[in-house]
Formats: sequence, structure tokens, C-alpha cells
Amino acid sequence: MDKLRLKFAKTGRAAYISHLDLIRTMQRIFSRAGVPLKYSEGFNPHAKISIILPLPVGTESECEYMDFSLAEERALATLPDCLNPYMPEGIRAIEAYQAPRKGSELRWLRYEGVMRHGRDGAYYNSFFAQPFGSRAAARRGNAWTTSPPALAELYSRICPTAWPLSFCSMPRSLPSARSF
Amino acid sequence: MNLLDDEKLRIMLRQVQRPARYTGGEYNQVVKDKSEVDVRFAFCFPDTYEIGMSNLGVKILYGIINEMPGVWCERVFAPWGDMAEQMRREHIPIWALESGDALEEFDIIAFSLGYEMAYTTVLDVLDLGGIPLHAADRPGLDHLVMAGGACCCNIEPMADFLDLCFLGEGEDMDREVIELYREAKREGWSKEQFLREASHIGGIYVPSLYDITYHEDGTVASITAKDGAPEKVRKRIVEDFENSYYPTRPIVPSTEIVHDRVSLEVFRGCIRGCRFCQAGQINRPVRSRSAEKLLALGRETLENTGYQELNLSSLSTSDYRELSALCDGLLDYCRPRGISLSLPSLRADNFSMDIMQRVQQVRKGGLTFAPEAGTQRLRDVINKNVTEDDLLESCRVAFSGGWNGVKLYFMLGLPTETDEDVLGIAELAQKVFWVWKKNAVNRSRGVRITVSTSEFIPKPHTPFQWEAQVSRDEYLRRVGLLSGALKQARSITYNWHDAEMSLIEAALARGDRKMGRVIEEVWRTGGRLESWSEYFSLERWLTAFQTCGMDIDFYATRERPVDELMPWEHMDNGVTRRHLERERAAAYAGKLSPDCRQACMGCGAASLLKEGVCRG
Repeated sequence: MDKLRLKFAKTGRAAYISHLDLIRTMQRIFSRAGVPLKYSEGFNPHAKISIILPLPVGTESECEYMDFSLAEERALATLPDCLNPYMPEGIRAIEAYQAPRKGSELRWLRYEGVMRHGRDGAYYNSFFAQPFGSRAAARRGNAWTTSPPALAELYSRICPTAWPLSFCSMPRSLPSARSF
Repeated sequence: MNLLDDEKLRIMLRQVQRPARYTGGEYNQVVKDKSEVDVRFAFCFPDTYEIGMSNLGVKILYGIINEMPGVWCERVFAPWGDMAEQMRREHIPIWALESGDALEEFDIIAFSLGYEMAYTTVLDVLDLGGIPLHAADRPGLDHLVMAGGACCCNIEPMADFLDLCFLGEGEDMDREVIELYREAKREGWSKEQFLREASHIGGIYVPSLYDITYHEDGTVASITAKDGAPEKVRKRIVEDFENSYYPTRPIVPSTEIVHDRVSLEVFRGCIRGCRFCQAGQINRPVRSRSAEKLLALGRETLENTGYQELNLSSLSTSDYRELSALCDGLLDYCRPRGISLSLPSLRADNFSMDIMQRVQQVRKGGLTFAPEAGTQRLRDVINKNVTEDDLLESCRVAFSGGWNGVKLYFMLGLPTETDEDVLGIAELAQKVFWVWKKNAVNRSRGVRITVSTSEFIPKPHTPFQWEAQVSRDEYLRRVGLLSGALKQARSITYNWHDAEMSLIEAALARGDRKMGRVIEEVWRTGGRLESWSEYFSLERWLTAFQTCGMDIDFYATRERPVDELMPWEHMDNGVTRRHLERERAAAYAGKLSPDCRQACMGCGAASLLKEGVCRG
């Protein structure tokens, strides 16, 4: 089964798992659950999975996407329940489905930030209130549609003063998560 | 309180390298309900997460202790420098990964000590936890500090800091000590009473129950047991290794560690009596698991972890009697699932090469051999039963089978070594190159032959425990000699380890209780995580020796007379002193000793088994 997509959450302690480590972790989750991922051919076979728009380490998210292919037929509706008992703390599969669009088409994300406290609380609240571009844009170096400071600067300003408790990425600019 | 919920700590975690090593939450970690726990056990590894989590002993004991109802064993690792610095600045104590609770909330704080360079880190972890360093400054039953692992065969340098040590394999005695502790807590014993009782458990060494006196020249004059403690502490082993606990549900780290795979322990001990090798002497007698058992354990662990690699672990895997059947069985399971099999610690012989070829059909990187010495004469002295023909034949098979890299490991500074032996290493490497030239499948790809040398460190409980380590200058001269001889050689790279750390290791390995002051001084002046070259400083050690008025050469480069009382004389590993003396004499006579299967040399380790018969 090709071109499948998994929507999952990465919260709590799992926020500290880096992108590369997450790929390894996901492979092991599927393997423990007895759901065989499809492997590439060749001398160094690797599982065909890719995580769309990696999160920065330390950031939590209720909505992450991973594209994958399976080596055998599986009911997609029950796949999350199949995987969830084998997850480390903080990772949770939400939904699995045939991907209607390519992962690379995901260009715009809107963040929802919840600030617990901090000297610059007001600044960040107004910052998050405006539409300000995407992780993809930050990663690929595209121009921003509006003119907020770069995410890097944002992080450096957040760190010493406040902790974004559940700093979520929600593709709200799309009609619904499912259509992506 | 779960420190991982602490705002300050969560901000810190975003500012340090690899934060996942501090946050736990991995698959298969054990979490218990605190209201049902009456003994909290902090299993500390005095090195980074990535090193500690790779340790099989940690996995075994974590599993065993957590099987005990009412006991919760959690993990503590030493933070890297960036994190430690922030913790000290923000006054955040070190925490255990499972609960996030501070170290001082634990009853028992136990360290796994596998190498001497971790000693200063033990002090650092205690200090980060706010626990007094000296055993004498911890009067009550809370915060008992214990240690186990290979270093316990001479733990004297750490004696002042530890309440209790485990000599040998911990499977049974850990549980016995915890049960006794629970009783002590219930009955309100004093710490002294608990330690006295504990000293009667086999394998338990309570340093405070032994008085040590010294001669004027600094050597040990007497070791006296008091309060009913045994005169000699006898190593504990697991007799029924076949059915002993194996962790089929180990924690699967969410961040990459050093040995990120299933490690299947095939056997303990070693039938080879290499005279320099401490592991080969202190882990005797040999006990193995059946191939059938190992297959079942391997399959179960792979299923429970999702790992894609399995490694056979032992001191010399080629010596496992059922290796061929085991590999076939494992390959049948692993191949269709894309799981790879790795076999370190193979000997350079035909049988091993055959296995190697069957196992490694896809990726053919480098092979590693450890001839240890450059000439047959010296290999005979150290009782390394590998001939030049064996080695070259193995290389021939490897090169004609498509491998194009070989790593060769040697030691410099072995007893009786001459310049001829040093140059012999270069000759041997050159011969390997010629073998490649003659047998290479694809010569245009070239070959990588790597020669590595490290300095020989005489270790306690080996036939070379009396030997002097060669001085650092002498080691470097020999390195220079070898380096010069290899200079013109094409395709041969030469790496050497600096002797700075070896000198300290040699001093600590055969140190006595007086050394505790030096270790403390080194820690006080900033020493921690010293097995890492980033953090190691020879200067700091030499200064500390001076400050404490001690002579490092007395410990490292002094040859001991055969009748000297060693600081570890009250530790009994099964192998007798008489056997070690005989082996030493054989070494100087250049005589090989047979391995345990060819003929029993009567080393004494068989006496650790109930029937007194060792099956090799």
C-alpha cells in the first residue's frame, strides 16, 4: 500500500526527540506493532517513510504528518489503534489515510501558541495573532507573506523568558486537515 | 516532584545538545505507582546516556530489580558539560529519568563501574544530587551508595565514598541486598547494623569493615576484616546461565545510542587465558546458553523492541560451541525481516571466516582483528593463541570474498617487548597488504589497512598484575619507531592512542585507599566525564597527585615484587594467586598455556560452581 499518510501528535517528553531520531523511532514502532513498512530496494534497504516539515526540537505538536508505504494490505481506519500501544510516551497516532495530495504541497501552516508567562507575553500574543508564514518557508528560505521576525529570532526571544506550553502547528489555512 | 515539569528545566532542555537523553519516556521504561513502592533504587551510570544505555549489565539489572514488587529501579546518567553547568547555575538537582524525581528521594544509589576513568563522575553525580560524597558523612539508612561492575575487583581507590560493593555478577545479590534493606528499614536498624548483616551475603564487600595498614614505603602491610566480615570476599556468579534472567523487554531509546541494537549474551567468561586480559580472568568460569534458548530470547527481544539489528555478545564469540547452528537459526528469522546480524569478537581463524561470510552477505565494510603483538614470540608471552598464518589466511579469505578493509589492533609496552616486536607490527601489516594485492577481487578499489596501538595497562587479577607500565616517554618512543616503519607503506594508516589516559588508568586500576584523596581532588578541580578526551586533563591528575603528596609512578610504573600484598588481596575472583604466578612464569618462559577446552590449568574458578567442575 503506497502513499499513505499518518497524522500524529508529538507532545510532552516526546517533544525532545529530534527529527532523525523520530524516523528511527517510527520504524521501530511499526516493527513492534507487526505492521511491515515497505523497504526500498538496493544494497542498503531503508524504510520508505518521510516526516513532513520536521518540528524544531523541544516543540510540541498536536498535528504532525508522516508519509509511508506498507508492504501488505492493512485496514487504515484501525491502524492508529494498532500502533498506539507501541509508542513511546508522548507520540500518538491520530489518523491514517490515503494521501490525497503530495507532502511537498504543504506550504502554509498557521501556529497556535499558548504562552504561560514571560516578560514579553503581550508581544508574543500579538505576534501569534497574525498570520505569519510557515515552517516550510522558514526551512526553504522563501519570502514571508507578512513581515514577522524569522522563527529563529522568535525562539531565541522565547527561550529565556517564557515556555510555550503547547506550541502547536495546525494547518488551519487548509479547509480541513483531512483534505491534505 | 517531577523536575521535568519544572519551568526552568524545560527552558534549559531547549538550550542543550541532545535533550532527549535527559527526558526519559522511552518505550519499555518501567513506571510504578509510588504509593505501592517502599524501596526506591537509583541505578546510576557514571557516563552519558548514550554509553550507559548501551550497557547490557544495566539492562539486566534494571529488569531484575523492577521485577521485585514494591521496588522501583530508575535510571540516572551523568549530564554532558553544557547541561551540568546549567544545572549547577540554576540549582536543579540531578533527576532520575522515569519519575523525574531528584536523586535525594532515593533510598539506594547504585553505580555501575566498568572502567576506572568513571570514578570522578561518580563524585560528580553524587554532588549534583546533593548527596555527601564520603560514606562517613552519610550516617543513616537513606542514600546508601553502592557500586558493582568490573572495577569492583579492586575498588579500593573508591572505598571512602562507597557503603557497599558487589563483587561479580549482580543478578542474585542485588535482590538479596534490597530485601535486607527493606527489612532494615522496617525494623529501624542503624546503618552499621545493616552493613554488618549485608557483609554476610555472598559477594558483598563493605569497605568500612576492613582496616588497612601500610608499610613505610607505602605498600600495604595488612588487611584486617572486622565485626565478623569475611576475611576474603568471594565473587558471586550465576551458576545456571542457561535459565538466568535475560531482558527481553529492554528500553528502546528514542535517541541514538552507541550500541543501538539487541545484544544477545551468548556466554560468560572466556576459555582463552590471554595474560593481559582482565575480563578473561575475572569472568571465569565459562557458562553458556544453548542455541535453542538464544534463538527464542533473540526472537522475543526483536519483537519487543522493533530493533533492526542483533549483535552476539561475548568475550570471544568464535569459541561458542553451537555458533554455526545459532547463526543459521538467527539468519532464518532475520533475513526475511531485513534484520542484520553482527558478530564482533571473532577470532582470526577459518571457522570464523566461514561464519562471517554467511552472515554478512550484503554490506562488506571492514574487518577487525586483534593480534595484540607483532611477533610470535611476544604473542606467546601474552598467550594470544593466534599465529601469523591464521591471521594472513583470514585476511586472504576476507579479501577474496570482497572485503577491502582490515583493522589491526595491537598493544605497545607489553612485558618483555623489544624494538624487534614493535617493528614486527609493521612487518605484519605489510604482509597483510601483500595478501590483499594477491587476492583482491577488485584492485582498483584499493584497500584500507589500519594499524592501531594503545598502551598496555597492567590490571589486577591478571598474570601481569605485578608488571610495571612503561613510561609515557618510552611508549611514545615506540610509537615513533612504528610510525617511522609504516611511513612509506602505502594503504596503511597508523593510529595510536595517547598514553596520558593510560597512565592514569594504570594508577587507578592498581590503586589503594590512599588514592581516594587524589580522585576527590581531581573532581574538586573540575574533573568529570574523564573517559572523554574533551574533558580529560593529565595536568589536573598530576597536580592532584602532587597536592596529595602522592607519587603516581609508585602505582603505575613500579614493578611489584611477587610477594607484595596487593591492595585487592581480600577480593577472591575464583582464580587463585598461585595460578596467576604460574602463568606469569610461563609468560617469561615464552610458553603458551592451552585453552580451557584443551586442558584444564586448574585456575581455581571451577570452585565457584557447586559441583566444582567447569564445562568450558
